[in-house]
Amino acid sequence: MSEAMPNAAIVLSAEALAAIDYEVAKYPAGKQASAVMSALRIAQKEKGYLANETIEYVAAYLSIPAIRAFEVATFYNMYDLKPVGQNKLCLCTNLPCMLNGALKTAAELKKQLGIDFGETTADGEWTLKEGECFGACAAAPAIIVNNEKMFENITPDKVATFLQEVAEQNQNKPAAQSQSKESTNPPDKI
Amino acid sequence: MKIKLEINGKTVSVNGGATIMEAAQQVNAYIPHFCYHEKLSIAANCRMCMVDVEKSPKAVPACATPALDGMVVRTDSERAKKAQHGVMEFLLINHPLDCPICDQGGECQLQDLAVGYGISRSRYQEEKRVVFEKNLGPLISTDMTRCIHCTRCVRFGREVAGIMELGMTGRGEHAEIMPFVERTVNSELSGNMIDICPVGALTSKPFRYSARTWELKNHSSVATHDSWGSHLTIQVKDNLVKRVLPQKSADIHEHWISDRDRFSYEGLTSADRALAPMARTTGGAILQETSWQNAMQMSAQELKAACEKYGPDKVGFFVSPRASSEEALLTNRIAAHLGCHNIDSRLRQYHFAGEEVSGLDINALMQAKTILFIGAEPARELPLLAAHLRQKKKKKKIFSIGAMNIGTQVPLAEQILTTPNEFSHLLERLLTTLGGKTSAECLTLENDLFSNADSNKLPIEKIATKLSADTIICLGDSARAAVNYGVIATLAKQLATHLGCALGSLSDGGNGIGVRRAGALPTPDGMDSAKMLRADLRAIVLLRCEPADFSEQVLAKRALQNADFVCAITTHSSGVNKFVSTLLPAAEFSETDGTYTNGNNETNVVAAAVPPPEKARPGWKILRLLGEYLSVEGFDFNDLSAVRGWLGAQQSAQEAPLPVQQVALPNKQGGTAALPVFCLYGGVPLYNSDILVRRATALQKTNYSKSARIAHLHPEDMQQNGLDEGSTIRICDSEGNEEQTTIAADTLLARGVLRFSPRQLTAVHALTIQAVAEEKTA
Repeated sequence: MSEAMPNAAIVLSAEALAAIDYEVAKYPAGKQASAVMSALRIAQKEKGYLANETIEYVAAYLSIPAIRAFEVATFYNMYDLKPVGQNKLCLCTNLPCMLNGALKTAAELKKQLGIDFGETTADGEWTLKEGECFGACAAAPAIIVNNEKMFENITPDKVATFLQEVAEQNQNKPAAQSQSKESTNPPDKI
Repeated sequence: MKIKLEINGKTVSVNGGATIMEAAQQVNAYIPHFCYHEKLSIAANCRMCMVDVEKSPKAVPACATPALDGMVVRTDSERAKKAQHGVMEFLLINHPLDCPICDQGGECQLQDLAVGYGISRSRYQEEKRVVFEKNLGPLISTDMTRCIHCTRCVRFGREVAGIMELGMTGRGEHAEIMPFVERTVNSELSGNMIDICPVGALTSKPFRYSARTWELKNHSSVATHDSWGSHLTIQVKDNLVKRVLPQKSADIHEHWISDRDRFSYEGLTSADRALAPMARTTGGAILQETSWQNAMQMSAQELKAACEKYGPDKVGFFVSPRASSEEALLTNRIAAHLGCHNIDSRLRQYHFAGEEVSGLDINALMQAKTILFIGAEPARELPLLAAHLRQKKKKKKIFSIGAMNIGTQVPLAEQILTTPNEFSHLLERLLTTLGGKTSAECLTLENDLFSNADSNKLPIEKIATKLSADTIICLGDSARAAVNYGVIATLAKQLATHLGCALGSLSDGGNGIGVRRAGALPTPDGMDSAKMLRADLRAIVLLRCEPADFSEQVLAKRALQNADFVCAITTHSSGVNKFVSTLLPAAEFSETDGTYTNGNNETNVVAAAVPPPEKARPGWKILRLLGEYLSVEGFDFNDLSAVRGWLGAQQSAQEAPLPVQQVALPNKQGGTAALPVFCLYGGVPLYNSDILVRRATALQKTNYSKSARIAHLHPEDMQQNGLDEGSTIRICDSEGNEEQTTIAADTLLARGVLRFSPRQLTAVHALTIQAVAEEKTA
């Protein structure tokens, strides 16, 4: 039980901890374990991915055993246990998407990015992942980018424009955000 | 409220809220299951217990479906059977079909149920999944490919062991049972996971591949490592104890045993087992094997000679609290015959002036609304008591005054962390806060020497107001090892009397109460163990104990070294063979008949499961023969029934409490003035408690044992003294002895407390520590 002071790379920022406190406050006192999913999400957003140390830190913060947070982190697809690229593409391959050609889209994505599922490009720009149903079956095949923005009806012929769009959006839009991210998070993400 | 339902055509009446599974058990309608366990929460994730409920559109899991009034359940209808067969086929898809090489074969629930509910051939042609083994430590062996994800082990950890060390990670086909990042399972109850695993995924590492269940013969027995006295099933093959399992019982013992009780049997076959009588040659140089007759003759002669030459005051008998009551009684008779009053079994106590506290009334404990622990660490001393107190439905307020934070072991309402030197002071304050008066002998206390500067801020009042007649006060071994235990015990007794509440002790040892009652206590003319060690005894008899059983190891070794004659009636030789003149090999637990009394005052008569190895003999036979050589009256019996008769008579005669002696405190001046003084924690490390456990190889490899070999301090104490984790320190006592060890931080310790098992020190209640400069070639 001897826990040394956690090293600085693991500790979450005051903002992140405040965000976790906000989630914890949604549950009755003593039920802080219920906030584990939100807490892991917040930690992942700050750190880029969930290292074992981060999971352990979050667990300690919520006073739950590390394995309990680890169970949650490994159960859900949207938690990344390894570093991911700037753009994480999550392609649904469940039944409706697959019937609508998700596997062909996958083949095209793999060809254009030069990576397989679960891999990251050498420049650290792209990660391709296999997703589970997003509830967007009407717009299959669907892709979620960085856990936040969904792109619909990505058939193989639309892959090139889709990739371009994502690349551009990421360059233009959240400049401030990505910079602040970078400052707390040295380039260990790759 | 009672409800009535029909199961397989039979009417059952159960309490509202009962499940179909529980109702079915009443009419002996067997429902196959894996994840359901009566002592664990309901998970309903194996799906094996599907039953057919009338008007329900599909089969439902019996373990998770509440029984309802008027329900009609069939466990063997076509639909139920089809569901059960379907589930079984799925369970076997990824399960290796290699029972002949699986250690669980023959006692595997999956194997058994596959016979009843599986088909004889697999229809599954595809690749099976493979899951890598996990290293869970020296006790549990894994074959995770065999796991069917019932999560019994996970629930056991969370609900009974109180520490969630295993979890189910991943999802669907990728689900695996594992600890967090290659940690091991360290719970002191972890062995129970082996029992509840319905397949061969978790098996016993020490037992692995050494026998099949159908080759084993079962014997009932009782564990002797703590005063909980768990009921055991000892499994034997070829006259060797192969495995120890819990015996299920409806009472407090439930289904669980501690790892100490489960794996200690390994010590029975340790390399230093005493297998033949030994005697030292006349020159005294060599200890060599001899005949029983020779060894006995020599022992008797030397004992008699010592008594005649130096007087019986110079002879001492030390009895292990793990000895059987018969052995203690016979030792007492021999001592009495020699006119010797020096006999004691309290080997881990320094201070004897004061009240004696022993026993733990389970009934009082169950009914108590509040519990006050003094210097106790329940998970280490009585692992199953801690498991019991963790159960949420028992709403008790637990308070602790101790040298270690036990909040991780049992749910605490309030605790005071302090050094063992402070316990008496705090008890006195509790008593005065409650308006009680301390009796004269306690007021001689010089508490100020150790007084904690902040002690006025401690939540004494908060605890005091919660204490009532419905309280039980429990003393632990950290209190028993304190410099003024007699004062602590006296004050605890006064507090209990003032409140009109119960008082108990966790640290009696396996049969501590039994041996004391049978006479392993000094008479008023005799000396207690601490005095005996300092009395320059000329002849010493050790009954199943060795220096490591004493809290004052160094003094014990010195006393044995200085004595002219030492006779050890012992099971293991390595601790004593340097000192003994005669060594009489005795039988261990499971090898001898005996009577044992647990903390709850229940007396169990146990029969031997195996014969003692080679020339070793049961302790009572050795003592009987020794007594005969000494011509002790009445020692011509041939079986234990005579001794048990005496035991009954002795018990009623010994009920009168020992007189309270005047309390005098040992000298507390310690150390060099410039250095901070630390107090020894005093608790006996979990797997260091007795002669057998110290030789149980797997237990000695656990993280518990590893951490017990070094010293621990609170991290702030380390910082203040400029010590780093893992650095070497020199520990000095007030008598100028010193020893070196490695130091590590333990956040659970109180400030000013050093957790450490001293081997060289004699005055352990005031220790100073210094960093040893590392000789580095820069």
